[in-house]
Amino acid sequence: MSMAQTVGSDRSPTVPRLRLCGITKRFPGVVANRDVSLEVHGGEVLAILGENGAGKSTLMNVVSGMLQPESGSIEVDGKPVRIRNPADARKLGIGMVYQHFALVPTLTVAENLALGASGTRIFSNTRRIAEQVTGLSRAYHLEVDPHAVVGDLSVGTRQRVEIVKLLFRGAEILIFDEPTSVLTPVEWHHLVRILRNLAAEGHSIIFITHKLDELMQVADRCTVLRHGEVAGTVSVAATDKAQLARMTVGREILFQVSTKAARPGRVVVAAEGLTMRSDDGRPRLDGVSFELREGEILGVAGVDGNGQRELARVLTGLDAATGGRFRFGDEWRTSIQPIDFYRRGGAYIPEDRHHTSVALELSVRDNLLMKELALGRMQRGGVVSERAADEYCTTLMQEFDVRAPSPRVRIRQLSGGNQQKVVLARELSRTPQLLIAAQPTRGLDVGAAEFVMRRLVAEKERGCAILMISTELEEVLQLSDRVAVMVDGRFLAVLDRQDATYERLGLLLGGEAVDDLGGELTEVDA
Amino acid sequence: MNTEQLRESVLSVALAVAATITGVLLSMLLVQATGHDAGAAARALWDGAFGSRRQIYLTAARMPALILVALGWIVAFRSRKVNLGLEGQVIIGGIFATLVAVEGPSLPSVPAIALSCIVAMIAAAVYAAIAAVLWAKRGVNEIVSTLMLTFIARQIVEWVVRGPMKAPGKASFQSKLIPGAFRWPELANGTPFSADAILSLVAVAAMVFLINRTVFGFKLRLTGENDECSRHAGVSTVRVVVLGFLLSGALAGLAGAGLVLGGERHMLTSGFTGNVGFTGIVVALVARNSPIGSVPAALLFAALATGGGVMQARADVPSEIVFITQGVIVVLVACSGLLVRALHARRVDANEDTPPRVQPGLASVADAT
Ligand SMILES: Nc1ncnc2c1ncn2[C@@H]1O[C@H](COP(=O)(O)OP(=O)(O)OP(=O)(O)O)[C@@H](O)[C@H]1O
Ligand SMILES: [Mg+2]
Repeated sequence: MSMAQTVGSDRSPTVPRLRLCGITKRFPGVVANRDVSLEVHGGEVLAILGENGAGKSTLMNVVSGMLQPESGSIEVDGKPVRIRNPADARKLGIGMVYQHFALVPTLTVAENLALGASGTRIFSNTRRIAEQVTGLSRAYHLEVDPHAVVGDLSVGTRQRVEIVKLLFRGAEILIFDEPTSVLTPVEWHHLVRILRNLAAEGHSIIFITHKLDELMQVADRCTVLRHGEVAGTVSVAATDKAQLARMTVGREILFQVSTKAARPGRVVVAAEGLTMRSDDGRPRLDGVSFELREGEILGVAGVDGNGQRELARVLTGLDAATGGRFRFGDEWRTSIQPIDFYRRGGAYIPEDRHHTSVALELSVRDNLLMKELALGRMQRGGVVSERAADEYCTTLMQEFDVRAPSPRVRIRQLSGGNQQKVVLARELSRTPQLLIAAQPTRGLDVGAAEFVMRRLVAEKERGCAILMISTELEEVLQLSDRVAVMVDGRFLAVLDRQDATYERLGLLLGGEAVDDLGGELTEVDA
Repeated sequence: MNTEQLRESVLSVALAVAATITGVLLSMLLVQATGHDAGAAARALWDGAFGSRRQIYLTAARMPALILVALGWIVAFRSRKVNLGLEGQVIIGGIFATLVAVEGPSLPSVPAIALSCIVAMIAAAVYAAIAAVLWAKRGVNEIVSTLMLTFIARQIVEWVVRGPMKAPGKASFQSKLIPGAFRWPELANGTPFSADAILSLVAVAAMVFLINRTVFGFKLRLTGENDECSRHAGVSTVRVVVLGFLLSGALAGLAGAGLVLGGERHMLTSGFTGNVGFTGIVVALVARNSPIGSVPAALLFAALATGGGVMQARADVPSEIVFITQGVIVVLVACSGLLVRALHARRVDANEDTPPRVQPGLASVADAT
């Protein structure tokens, strides 16, 4: 078990740690990777950038043994290897951190690691494993307590547990596929430090992201994929965001979306002291009051898990409030049926794509149609009107640039960003009166994110009232007319656009360390 | 249907055929091992199922009830509800169909059969509704409740054929004979193969249409795949699930009606179902919950049933052997199902954003923080 000693120091520094040559991977109807070659050296962080559906995840799944390429070869430390399954990849020291963590929430960190360890019996070795975890954690500043129960840990900590798991299994090539969308700024900076640390110790890191700022902070080099092919590789020091964006989507990206000041009309939705307690009696939502008017965007800024989800779920009818009231339309109420929310002109983009907003096993078409059908549209006498439905789907897929071989494929087969585009298309197609959008640009490439932000502004200027929930301050600041800061289930403050600055929001969110990279990091778990 | 789905269905058909062959071979091995002549037994099994026109009709006559029960299973299972009580619902359907026929008004044939079937379907749906409502209102597990209701239904049929519905003057426990107008017209003279066979094929087509083309079918599928998503989309998921369950019960009721109005004996006895309510579930499993697939699967199980009887008579092999054949087939198909899913999962779950089903996702993450 390599602890903190430099990894692979016995190897020649000129031979890349991992090298892909001419990898081609097809799926029915698409070539996900075409003749892709790239290399990663020891001690390096390589970022992979590319449009939604460019083939990034597919390529990493080839490297980690989940998928078999049609052609191409892989070399590790100069030696050709075959990676037939994840176990092969593990033996070669390749490990992947997924967005959805593969940890058992009811077990402790050490027990989770014992589960995966080969040739060990569960429980018998947890003591030894715990010691190793402590060692690894100290060596790389991971701050993971081996005896903590995984279910109690924050998202950021769980991610670090995943890293410990990989290191524990001897991984020297670590792959991160869009790891940061659920991290707080503090957690992100912690992660950057860890990654730089790991690289300094000789590990190789592959990092997929759509966020150029993050990429610039963490990566040494960047390989850009377009339509499954390598569009180029650049050194991060010698490039800037604009160039990276151009390489990714093939056009200029304006990082600033222009938006006119709001001309708010009548109140569309209002809440008074909305409260929701979970079963254990803890308030998840604690007296939230606000008014949202036609033609205005109210941004809700906050760290994930501070009641944003509950707020959206109460307003859209998925959960009932336990106290307070709200109105959407005329009457005050404590709950609403989801169908009534839509009938009144509501639209909702939930943040957890796989649990709420899409049914993975159903087709893209079914996923686009679900709310239309629930609303009684696109049907006659209880039978789906195939022609109207097909037309609707084709139009939306074109408008939102959803890349799928056909509307009939399972949505599971679409890339993450394209799944998100399906959700956006479905909600925006109804010209809503009220839009509740949680993390609307999560997983989107820079081009698609820009498109969506423009659409949100256009909807607002049309008169739609938008409640935009986001953990990304830049996004909130760019689009919102007013910004609510949400902490512990409450609106700590509601600021007008001109008063809402990045620094001020950071302070209100209790993240003093937001732009203090070198600062002492404290454990962020409760 | 895209290429991948096509490949999947071809694969499942191939696996089902392989499972059947293996099942028959294994049980013949067992026949040989227990000191019988496996060759003779196999021939008897085949002759019994398909050896003559009459045997073919006998086999075909067993199919409608199996198909209808399978459809009943499938429609409930589309919303991930397990209706293990189809047998009980078949029994209730049979009782009410008989009741209408022997006690009801005298009618011309078509309205007579229609009335009897409709009453049977409603009665069985109401019987299924007990479990559905217990689930909707109290969260009672439908697997347990439907099974319990099946035991109750068995007691009810025992009682009615001994008591209130017993044919007067008969020594055995049976109902009065079904009057001619209420009998399904025979499709082949002198055999039990009757017009309910056509009805069951129509039901298959209707089910395919219902699931794939109607709004209700859409809601059923959506709720079955992801009920949180369905709820979020504005579907009243409880209503959809309950309706699916009622339809399931109604189909079982129709099967029960067919058993007394069609068939050979034209009366109600306590064992009139011959366990179709359970065999039909097995048919659906072997068909992998495909309505169309349940037709060949029903043929397979019907053939084993008729063939098994002849095998016993002719080769002196206990007909229970066919239960072993059936069991082996089911186990193999279930395993091959796992195999298909495993192959499939390896290809599909590879998409990074796709949580394998056991993983805690963002929802549980958010709950924990
Ligand atoms: N299991 C699969 N079956 C069929 N097609 C697939 C499968 N997985 C991916 N694809 C297709 O391969 C292409 C590349 O997908 P991939 O997930 O690698 O994109 P990505 O670069 O990760 O995109 P994103 O930024 O949106 O996550 C897409 O067109 C996608 O639809
Ligand atoms: Mg991806």
